[in-house]
Amino acid sequence: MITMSQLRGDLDGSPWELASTAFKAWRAGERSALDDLVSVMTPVLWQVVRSYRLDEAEAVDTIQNTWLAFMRSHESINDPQAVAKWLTTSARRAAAKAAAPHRSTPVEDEVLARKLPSQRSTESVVIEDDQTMRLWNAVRTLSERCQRLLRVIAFEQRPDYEHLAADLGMPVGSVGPTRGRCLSKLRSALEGALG
Amino acid sequence: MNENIFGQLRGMWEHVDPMPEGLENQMIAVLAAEDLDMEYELLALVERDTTMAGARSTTHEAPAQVRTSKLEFSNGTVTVLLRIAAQAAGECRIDAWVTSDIPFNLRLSVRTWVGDQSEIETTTTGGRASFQDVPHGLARLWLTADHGTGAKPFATPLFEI
Repeated sequence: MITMSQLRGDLDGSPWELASTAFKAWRAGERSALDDLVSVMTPVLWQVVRSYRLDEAEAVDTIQNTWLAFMRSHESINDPQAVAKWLTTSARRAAAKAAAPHRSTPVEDEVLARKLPSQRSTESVVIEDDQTMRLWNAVRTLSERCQRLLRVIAFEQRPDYEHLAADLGMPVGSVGPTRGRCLSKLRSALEGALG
Repeated sequence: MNENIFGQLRGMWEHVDPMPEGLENQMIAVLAAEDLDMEYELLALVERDTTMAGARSTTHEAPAQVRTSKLEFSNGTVTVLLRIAAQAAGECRIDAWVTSDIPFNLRLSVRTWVGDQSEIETTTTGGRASFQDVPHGLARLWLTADHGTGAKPFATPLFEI
């Protein structure tokens, strides 16, 4: 049984490893290990799917369909180490498809409004978590494409750049350089905010 | 350096756009229903009834309100009636009555809100069983007959304690 402290621990502690462990245990017949897999990966899928600017209901539907597809096709996952990758890739593709009709729908204000507790002012949140707000403000200056690319790369396990290019509507081979440019713009925005 | 910035970005996105509370439990419920496959027959919820009743308080103050829920599941042949009553210390007692021609072993699995999984097993005597000190969470009751009876196993849908 994976403990909640492991699940809630630092993401750098690799949810992907926890996912593989849970997946192997589930395949070995431990029924509750499926719950562990879902607990580890659903927050990751949320981040991947929301990078496509789906609203909450669409994001939940996309994640649910990803899990149902997983239940029907998990036998095709030959390498248990790749379960996280299978899930994030499936979710990303489904999200890209769902997002296609309304690519221009803005979501930042909705995201921020949902995040900030209604009884608090924005200033108090800024003071409380200055570093996060600075990073968030810097990210918001980036293009939609940069934001999506950085978010997907941050939450995916060794993303496959070739497929990523297709899913993000970029020429093959441009993901690496684009990622570099996006990071560079992000650093400039952060330095500008500090300066 | 890049790994560091991606770590910070992960933290930032989790902060500004966190997953809705309870979404993982919602997904677990969806998959649990899917995972029942052909092995277990799912009983349907027939009736749900929640009442508040006065109970003696241990602090000699006014009687506390205790919530009691009754749930009835059935497939027409096998019927399970559950009475869930709050206990002290935030736990519950669940009494189960099973109407069936054959005795079943009952297993109650509960996934608590903090993510722990606990399982309590008991056997019905005269169709009645009791589970003590059940934690709050999402629960399911599994009914399996002894091998040799040839009876199909049953499960209730997930219900909230």
